[in-house]
Amino acid sequence: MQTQNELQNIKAFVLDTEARVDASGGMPHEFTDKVEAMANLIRQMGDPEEQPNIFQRQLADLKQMSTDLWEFSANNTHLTPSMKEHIQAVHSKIEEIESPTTH
Amino acid sequence: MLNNIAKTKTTRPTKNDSNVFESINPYTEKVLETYPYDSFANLVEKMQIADSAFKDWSQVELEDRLEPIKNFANILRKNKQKYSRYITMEMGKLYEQALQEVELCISICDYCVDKAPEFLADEEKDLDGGRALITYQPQGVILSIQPWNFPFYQAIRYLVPNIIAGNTTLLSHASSVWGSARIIESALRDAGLPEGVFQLIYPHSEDLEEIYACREIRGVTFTGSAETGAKIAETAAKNLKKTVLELGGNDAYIITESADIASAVKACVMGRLINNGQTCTAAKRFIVVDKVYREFRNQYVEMMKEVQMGDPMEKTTKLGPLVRRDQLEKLNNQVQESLDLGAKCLVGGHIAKRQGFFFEPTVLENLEAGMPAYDDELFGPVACLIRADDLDHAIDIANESQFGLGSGIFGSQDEVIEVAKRKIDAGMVNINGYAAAKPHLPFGGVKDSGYGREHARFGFHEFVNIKALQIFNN
Repeated sequence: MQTQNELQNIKAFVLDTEARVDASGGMPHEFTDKVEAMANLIRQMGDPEEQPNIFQRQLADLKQMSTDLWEFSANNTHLTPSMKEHIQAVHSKIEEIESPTTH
Repeated sequence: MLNNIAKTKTTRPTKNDSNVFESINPYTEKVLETYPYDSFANLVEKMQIADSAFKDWSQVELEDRLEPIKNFANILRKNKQKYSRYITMEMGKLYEQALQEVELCISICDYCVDKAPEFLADEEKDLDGGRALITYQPQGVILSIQPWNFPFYQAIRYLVPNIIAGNTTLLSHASSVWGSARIIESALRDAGLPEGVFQLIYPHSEDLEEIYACREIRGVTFTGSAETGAKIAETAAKNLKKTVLELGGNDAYIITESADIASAVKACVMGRLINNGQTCTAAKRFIVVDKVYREFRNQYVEMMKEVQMGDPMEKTTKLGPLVRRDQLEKLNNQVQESLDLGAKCLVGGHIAKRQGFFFEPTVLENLEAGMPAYDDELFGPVACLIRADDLDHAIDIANESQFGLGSGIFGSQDEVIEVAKRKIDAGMVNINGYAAAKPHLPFGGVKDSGYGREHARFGFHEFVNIKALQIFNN
């Protein structure tokens, strides 16, 4: 079961990504859309212990989005090395999240 | 049309070997982003684009020039959390203060949109045999060179009135905050500002000097050190260009016998630590009359001891990192040199032993002329306490500084308002409090703190042609 602190940590990583997009400049629209969608989802994610079923669905979506973003960034020549490195770190963090036990 | 300097040198290589700049998150010390510098040819091309854009933009009706700024304000409103987060990542400002900075920028946009029709309206004047008009017309390309400490505010406070007035502009922002600059550029583009009206440039410093000498640049606005400001003014003067310079400050805050000490201490700690101590108008020297010196000092030191350093994104953090390692080392050298010359450290005094570019909250006393902590601007969380015999002595000490940007005084209003108005040699005076810039009040300094004013009607009129028309009846 994820604690609220762990979720906050991931949230910070994703929101950092969103904040960095405009500053990097010249990012493909497909990339910025993916980041924005991920940031919007993570803003909506609630307490994993209070609503485990909803959280589990949201987490599955988040993991899928993170994988898409990571694959997109790995193959994209417009992204700067530091942005690629950051996306890699975000992806690793999200992959580490375990689904909560449902009852 | 380009002048000779630009014509002959557009293809020369830049002298500096480094072609990229790495911005570093001052809290994590990790690279945030990498940016390429502009070649000299790129800079000239951008200047040509700005000059060409001016021909169209200056002829757009004022009402239509306001639209992109209204949209820009709305984009800032919508994205203020996201933008503030980036400011914090890029230069270490506390997130809450980054939000305040973006909100200040929104209020600058709103104020300028609201007041521009009044400030830029033609003025009718009497004339024998006819009538006269004073009219405010744009002049051309304004070059702006801005620092990193308020990455949004420093850019927006000059660009909004200038764009509304019909000028076009090139912004050379501090390399530490090129990410914030790109966010502003992107937001202005999304707001519908036509191409070429606002452009970022990423120059090597030696290239910049040649650019602002070019005929196409009609004015230069600079915020930064007095040394650089003097060089810019010299080049600008040789080429007969107007400049607005907002330079350093070593702001004195005078504590009189009639001051409410507890509230003065609170405001003075806040005034010293705001933006992690890196504000031109931070409260830096605290000149306290002898009768209340001990009381003020003891309370001030106690409050500084309680200041919590940490992650600038956390609400509990009261002091974040300095922007860069070189700034941290410079501050450390200034403090250590002052201590070597006889200053006394009451708290702090060192680079913090932790991740990030942190300097301990510091209070110094026993200061005198010749020490960096007395004479120079300390850009960090270091407060300098100076004992004065009485109010007249305190005013003398305050005014003997080479700088005259902001200042403050604490005491009964009956006593201090006239002192503030008539005796303190500075561009701005806070009375019984500490406050940031306001869109409706002029901002700027005297002496080595520069000249010219930002904000209010004064900011609109710095780079317009104040033209007189005499119209005679036939």
